[in-house]
Amino acid sequence: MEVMIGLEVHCQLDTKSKLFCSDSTDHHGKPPNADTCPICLGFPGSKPKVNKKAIDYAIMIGMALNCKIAERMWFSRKTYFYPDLPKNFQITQYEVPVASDGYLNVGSSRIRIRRVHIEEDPARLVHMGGDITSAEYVLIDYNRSGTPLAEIVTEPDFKNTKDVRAFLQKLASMLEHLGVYDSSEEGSLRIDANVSIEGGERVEVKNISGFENVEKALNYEIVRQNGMRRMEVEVERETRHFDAESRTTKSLRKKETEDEYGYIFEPDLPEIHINGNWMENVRSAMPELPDQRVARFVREYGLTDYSAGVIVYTDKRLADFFEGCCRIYGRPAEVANWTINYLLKSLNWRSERIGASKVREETFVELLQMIDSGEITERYAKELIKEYVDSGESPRKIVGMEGDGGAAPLEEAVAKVAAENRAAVEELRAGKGEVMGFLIGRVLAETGKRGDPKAIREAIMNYLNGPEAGMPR
Amino acid sequence: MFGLIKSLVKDHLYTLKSTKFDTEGFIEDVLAKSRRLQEQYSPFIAINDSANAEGAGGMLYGLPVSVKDNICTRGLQTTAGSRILEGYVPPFDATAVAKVRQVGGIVIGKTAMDEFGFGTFATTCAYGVPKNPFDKDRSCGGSSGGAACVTAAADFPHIALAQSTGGSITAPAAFTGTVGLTPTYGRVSRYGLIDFSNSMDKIGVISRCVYDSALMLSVMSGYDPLDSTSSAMPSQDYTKYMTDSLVGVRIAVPREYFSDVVDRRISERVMDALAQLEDCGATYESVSLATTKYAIAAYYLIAVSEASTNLAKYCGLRYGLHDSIDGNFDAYFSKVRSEGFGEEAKRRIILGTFARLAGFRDAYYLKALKVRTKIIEEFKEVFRKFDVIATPSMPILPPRFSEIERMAPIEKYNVDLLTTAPNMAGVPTLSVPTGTVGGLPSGMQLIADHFREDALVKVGSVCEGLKWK
Amino acid sequence: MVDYTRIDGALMDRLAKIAKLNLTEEESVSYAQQLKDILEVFKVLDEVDTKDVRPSFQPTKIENIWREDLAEAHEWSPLESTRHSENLYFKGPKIV
Repeated sequence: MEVMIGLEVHCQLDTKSKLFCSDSTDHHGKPPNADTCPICLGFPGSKPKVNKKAIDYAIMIGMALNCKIAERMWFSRKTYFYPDLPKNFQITQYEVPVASDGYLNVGSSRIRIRRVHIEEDPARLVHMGGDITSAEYVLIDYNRSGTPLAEIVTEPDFKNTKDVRAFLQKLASMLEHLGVYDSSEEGSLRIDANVSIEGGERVEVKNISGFENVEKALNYEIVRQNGMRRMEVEVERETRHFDAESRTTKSLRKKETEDEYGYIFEPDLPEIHINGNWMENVRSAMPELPDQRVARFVREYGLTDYSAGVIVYTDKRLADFFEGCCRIYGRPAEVANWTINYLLKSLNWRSERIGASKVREETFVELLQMIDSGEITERYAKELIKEYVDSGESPRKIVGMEGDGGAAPLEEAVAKVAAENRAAVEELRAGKGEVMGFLIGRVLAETGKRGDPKAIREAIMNYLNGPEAGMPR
Repeated sequence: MFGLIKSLVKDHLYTLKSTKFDTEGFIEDVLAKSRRLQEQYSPFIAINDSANAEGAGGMLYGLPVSVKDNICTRGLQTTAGSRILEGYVPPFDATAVAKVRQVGGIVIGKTAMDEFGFGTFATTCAYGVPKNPFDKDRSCGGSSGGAACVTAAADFPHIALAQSTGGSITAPAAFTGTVGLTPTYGRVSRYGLIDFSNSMDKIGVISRCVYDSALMLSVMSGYDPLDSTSSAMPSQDYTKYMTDSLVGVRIAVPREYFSDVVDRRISERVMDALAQLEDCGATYESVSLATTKYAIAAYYLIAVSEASTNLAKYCGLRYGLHDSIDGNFDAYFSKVRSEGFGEEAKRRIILGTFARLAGFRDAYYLKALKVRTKIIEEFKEVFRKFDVIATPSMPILPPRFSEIERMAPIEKYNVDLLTTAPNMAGVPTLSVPTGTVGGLPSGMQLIADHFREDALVKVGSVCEGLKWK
Repeated sequence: MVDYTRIDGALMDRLAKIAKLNLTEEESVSYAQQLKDILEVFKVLDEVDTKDVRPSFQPTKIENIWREDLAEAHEWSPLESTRHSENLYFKGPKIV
């Protein structure tokens, strides 16, 4: 049975003020409802006025997604009642979105983009005394209400959840490259997914935050729908809510059907005419896009397409990090290798993105330099990187800190091992090279598995040739 | 019998500028008189007991102004005539009110109106129905009924801020023998006007004479950054267009506005007026506005479609009528809304919700918007050759409340047949009294092209000097 | 599915539900009749040829009105007009 998945990605646009009023979109450290005014609370008599930046950003997104940009567009009212909607209608776009008919290539698949439109974010609800299905009442914080959103709607072109994840990662990286989206903001990317299995009705899973959750929600939904099919229960058209804790989807409400939204033109907002000049201004302000950056990484740093793709499509900040490291350290192949194979794995294991992590270019380069200088072995470095990602401390400091707990400098360790293994030392002196491995092993044990075997071998040879050799200690 | 009195505004403002004036005593006196008016005719929803004069030295310093109750007044209850906004005190002034206060206008009270403007007779107000000063058994017209009532009955200088969507200034002005100015859509900021139908709502004036309306328009008009649909055309002093000569003025007289459904006594008065205007130098000619017969249907479909979305926000959460929170949001919203909205509001919500439903949207809402385009084009065509259009204001004389009660909704809507087309086209209109017919006032509606309020003031000012047989 | 071509009790129930109004049986019957009467009269619009006519969202031509992206705090008390609040939040009815 073929699975069909379509996405609606809601991206909070990183503007300073809201979509239709001048309240701040930065609510850090502010109490609920602090960033509100009569406009975003829909007080009688208030009128919206559109933020031009939000339109610029949406045009940019449309261009980056290879869309046609509307020459004339307007806003519409989508009317439905919900406690998070101050006016009980949402100002959105209906007939003519800012951009339409585009695509984004993900690996070998092309995902068609149906439309990109601008709309206002509803408020945040806190369900008191239960979850959305069991709460006694809700508390409403309208700080988020009126934040500009770009809604990116795909065609149902996804056949599996892996492609969904790859698409979302590439899309997020693209949005970050455009500078229209702040990935560090919680809930700045929210996804509704339509899932249907060949021949069945479409089920919408609403408001999923985070890429892992999208995968989980979709996997659950596919299993659920397949199960229903096998039991010969009809899959109904409905809206479901993803519960991140139980990793399941729950039936929410029978969705208003499209004909009940009763769209009308938003009469408080005049038409927008996007002329050639405006388009040119936006186009010329477009920063480097992920695909261009991948090509440049291949060209400038000599990376493989694969490596460049992993670095750039994972996360813009990872790509920035990579370039930063290259500037300090050079040797892009080494940086790429350690970034992709060890650093990224470590971050992923912790479900952390580099921007939110404690990893810094200087300290990461320090780790690479420690390998080069033989201060640590590669094998040890692979262990160390986990600790480094955990603490963000300078790798040298991490090594030093552990040293305080019993590890001794190399010479001391060699002397100690030699004193304890006089017989082996004598054998070595007598030319029995095979005991060298044993001694190195002892020294490594003494230093807490740190140190380059080559350096240890050298230190042992020095010891043999040194003044105290052979002398009883 | 109640007569038509001339304005006291000009003399009052002149006196204030030239002599020392006891402002507090004056306001006390005006408020006392307003309370008496309230007892007699109930034109107010609220009287502003803490009325004061700010803006010393301003153009309107010391002038009592009433404000229709759908225009927000900071610190003074604003209900739009609906129970669902009972007790609501806006945290801000409408831009028009702020401008009036800035130049010294004194807000004396909020005037009664049909709930959210939904009516032609001011009989759907949740806080009492204003009575016509000419005959207390008759309607003042609506929806700005209270505004017209105070204007007609006050024996103190006063100008009323009113509002029209489809005729809510012209109807009450005609029924009370007052002047009603409905400006071009966007001429006066709508910020702070409680929405009925945003693409047609206009704040305007009801006053004793044309000069007063022109004066108030000069104060209120102009671009407002808070209203995206307000016009960038600079404001001007409209009183300077007061004149006594109409040489070169071309007046169009559309046949469709003089049909059988219009009371002959009213249209005869308009013809009489035209003959006298001709003596003042104007010329007039019969024209056809063939789209007139579609105006009511198109107007109501647009109006209820927009209104039914505007009224969605009233649900007992953030302001206005509340109830105890129990049940889910669906049950709670339905409970509060059913308690708070009156019969006509519910009817228009139902009608509007229907007209917007997918499947009907194209046939009703979208169709109406296209018909509006044709209506606008037709007006534009006429204004290529003419300065103003002259029509009767209302097809009937002020009806008795008992008659209104017997009318079906569609019969009431049909009374708007002369006002809906210019209102949905957003062209400015001026209703001027044409004397009384059998003791009841009648009026003539002048219509001009977009932003040509100057032509209305010009012709209107001459109309004030006309004599009635 | 409701048959919208028939203005009957079922349609009135649907409209009332969408618009969040509780209608009494009596209201429902009388609104249905009035809706019929009104729409009958409004049929006159069918006469108008509107092929290739653009809808007028606004009566006058206005376009490209916007604000620049400047944030500004609004000094006010958002909870002043509500009866339902808790810890600086608005309080509202549950969803389900």
